[in-house]
Amino acid sequence: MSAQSQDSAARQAQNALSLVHVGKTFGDGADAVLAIDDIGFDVAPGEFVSVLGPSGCGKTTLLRIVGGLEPPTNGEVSIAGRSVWSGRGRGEAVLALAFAFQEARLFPWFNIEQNVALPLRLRGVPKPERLARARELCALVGLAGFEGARPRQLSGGMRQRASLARALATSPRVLLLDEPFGALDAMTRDQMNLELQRICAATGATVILITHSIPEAVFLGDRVVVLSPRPSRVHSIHHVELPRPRTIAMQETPEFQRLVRAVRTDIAGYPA
Amino acid sequence: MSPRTRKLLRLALPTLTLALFFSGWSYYVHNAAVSAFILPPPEKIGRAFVALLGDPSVWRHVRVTLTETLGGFLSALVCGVTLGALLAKVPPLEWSLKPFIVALQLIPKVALAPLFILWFGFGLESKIVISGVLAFFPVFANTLVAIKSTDPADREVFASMRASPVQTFVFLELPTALPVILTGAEVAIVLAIIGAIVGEFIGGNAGLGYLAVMKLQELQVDALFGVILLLTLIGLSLYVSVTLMRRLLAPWHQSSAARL
Repeated sequence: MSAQSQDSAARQAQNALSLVHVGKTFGDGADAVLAIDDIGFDVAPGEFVSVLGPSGCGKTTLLRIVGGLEPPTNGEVSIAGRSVWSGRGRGEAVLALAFAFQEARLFPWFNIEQNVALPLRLRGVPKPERLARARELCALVGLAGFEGARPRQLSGGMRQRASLARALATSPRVLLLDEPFGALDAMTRDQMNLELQRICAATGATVILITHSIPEAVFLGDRVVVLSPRPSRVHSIHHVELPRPRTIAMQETPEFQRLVRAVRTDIAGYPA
Repeated sequence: MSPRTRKLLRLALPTLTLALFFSGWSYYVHNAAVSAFILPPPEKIGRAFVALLGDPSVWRHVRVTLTETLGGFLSALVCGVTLGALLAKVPPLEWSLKPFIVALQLIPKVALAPLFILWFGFGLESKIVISGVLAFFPVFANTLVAIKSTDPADREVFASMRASPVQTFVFLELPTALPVILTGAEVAIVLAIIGAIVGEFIGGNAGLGYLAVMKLQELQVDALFGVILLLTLIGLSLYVSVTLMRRLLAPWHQSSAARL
């Protein structure tokens, strides 16, 4: 191993998450479609990174690659220095991740606490322990008192809270959020953004958030990564220096609006 | 229409239909030139039915038919779910067995009944086999399709939780398929009764199907109707039990909320 690559390995180990020259091509030969050209950025422990980009730029594909669900064609993803896609640390790297999706996807044959405890059940955690953890998480996401309810009995926002609690069950090092509030109405969404900020602060989780909403990306993120249209690359990275905890009222400040404008200009630079 | 009137009509109208049907029947038999041997009046059938219920030998026949039906139904349930799940999880196995699956679907299975009598004799066994063969397909087909059509987005959630294939089967695919499997079971129980009766018709020495043939040969048409009524009631109670089983085992499913 060269001194340079040793150096980059050491740098990767300090990061919660590191993407190096990640590329993805779907299909092969004449039908090959280059979805992601070359994406690389690092995420520090406890950092919240929002990823924005024009529709169809491969944001979800990128998240699936980071999450170990879809292999990259090129490049490398590592969690705390362990590769997600190769080598001995793979199992461990992948177990340090958790997902929450746009739809809550709770299972109707389980009640809320059983849904939240499911990832622990799959890892063989004994019942009393995993249910205690599930109740703790229900309280954290504001679902205390609904542990025994069926998913159908909950509102969309509450189901998304449960889905978030389920993602947090294994105390993941990195939390991957794929537009988790995309299907909610605007008022619930504001509320959920505040909640997410509070939950992230309480758990110290490192978060990658994929979203279509520029204000949401700025409101939640320590950094906002803007991707170019397909084949995607990192177009620009904006640092959000607003103090935490952030409030809804902060969205009216000149600094917030300046950031939203800057990001919007970046994205609008591309025809839809 | 107010909810109250609705409720009342839902009860009153079917009762009225039945009353009209039976009085029309009675009127026709008493006033038209039709022999009571061919079509007995309902009141006579009612008396024959009560007489049947009081006859201890009839209950022996009921027990035989029930044993055959439930034996066939339960074997169909076990084999149908096992094979359906296996084929859903191992596609090459499904491709290999495709000719048999298609054949099993298309053969008029009742036509196989004489063969089973030949192979398994005149006792309970042959009737259980006929009943089971008839009841197998809906359970098998529903299991196969339901497991294969598990929502990809749900699979993605399980993949993201790093579930093993066995865990995905137990905690996702099986619960997803359960309501559909039990809907197949509702069809299967009705077919299982038909299988048992057909078996008794062509090669039986006991059971309600056998009793029906006996009553016909003795020209006791009112008692024959009584046997048919008894079979209908047994069929109804078995069907309702399976429906209740579905509501009990898969209470989350939408169709469980639907009324009969």
